[in-house]
Amino acid sequence: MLSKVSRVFDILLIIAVPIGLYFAFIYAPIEYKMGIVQKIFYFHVASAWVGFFAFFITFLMSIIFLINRKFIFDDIAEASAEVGLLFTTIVLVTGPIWAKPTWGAYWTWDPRLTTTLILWFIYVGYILLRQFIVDVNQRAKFSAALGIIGFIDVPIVFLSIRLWRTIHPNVVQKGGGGLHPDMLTSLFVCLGIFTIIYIALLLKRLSVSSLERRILIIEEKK
Amino acid sequence: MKNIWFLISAYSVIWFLLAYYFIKIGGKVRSLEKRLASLEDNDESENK
Repeated sequence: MLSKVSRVFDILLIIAVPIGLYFAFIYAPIEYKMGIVQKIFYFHVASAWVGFFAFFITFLMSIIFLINRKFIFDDIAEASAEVGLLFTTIVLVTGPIWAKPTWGAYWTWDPRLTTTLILWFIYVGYILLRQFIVDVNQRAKFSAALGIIGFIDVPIVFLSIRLWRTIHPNVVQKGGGGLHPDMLTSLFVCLGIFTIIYIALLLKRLSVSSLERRILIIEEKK
Repeated sequence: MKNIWFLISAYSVIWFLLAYYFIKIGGKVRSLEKRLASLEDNDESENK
């Protein structure tokens, strides 16, 4: 069942990616001040939102695992954290590439950038923690605790531009952050496409956990 | 077309990272499926 749904999302992915590129490169107009480099925005912002969503899924699945102790929820939490970490890496790499021509520097210790970097380290810690604990029950329990506590940084990242002084632009506000309607449309299309990519990668990663568990059961029987 | 190389670098990184992860995980799924199939075959032949 999982592999069939995964294949459907693989096909959707192949269709969706060119659509996203069309909207980002052709449909969306070129921004007046920043020029063509502003087009990094569509995938940078989409990656950030999908990353936050992935960590929210880890948070939710961690809570559910601690309540009912079913390993499927631990598997989903782990898979979502790994994919979320991938999207956050994309954010931390594309942001500085965009920042250099726009702000004149690859990096500043701006609240938004700093809290996002902290978020990245939290989930690297989550993945490393899982690598170092051999006992399956302990691994799931401690990871669930970190998956819940680590999520506290996500609203901090999101609200950082409201809580502190920052040079990072704010898109999520009334009027769409002053975006042209075609830019807003492109942003939402790219967000939808990155969500499809997230689901496709999550299902694949989940297949790995599920197969490993089935192999373990057969090997333990012998 | 000023700063186009920054745009190309950013897009290259995005799609490289996504494609790399997709291919790596896809490869892992295929190898685990083969291993599971072989273990299940061995299990069946031992039970017979």
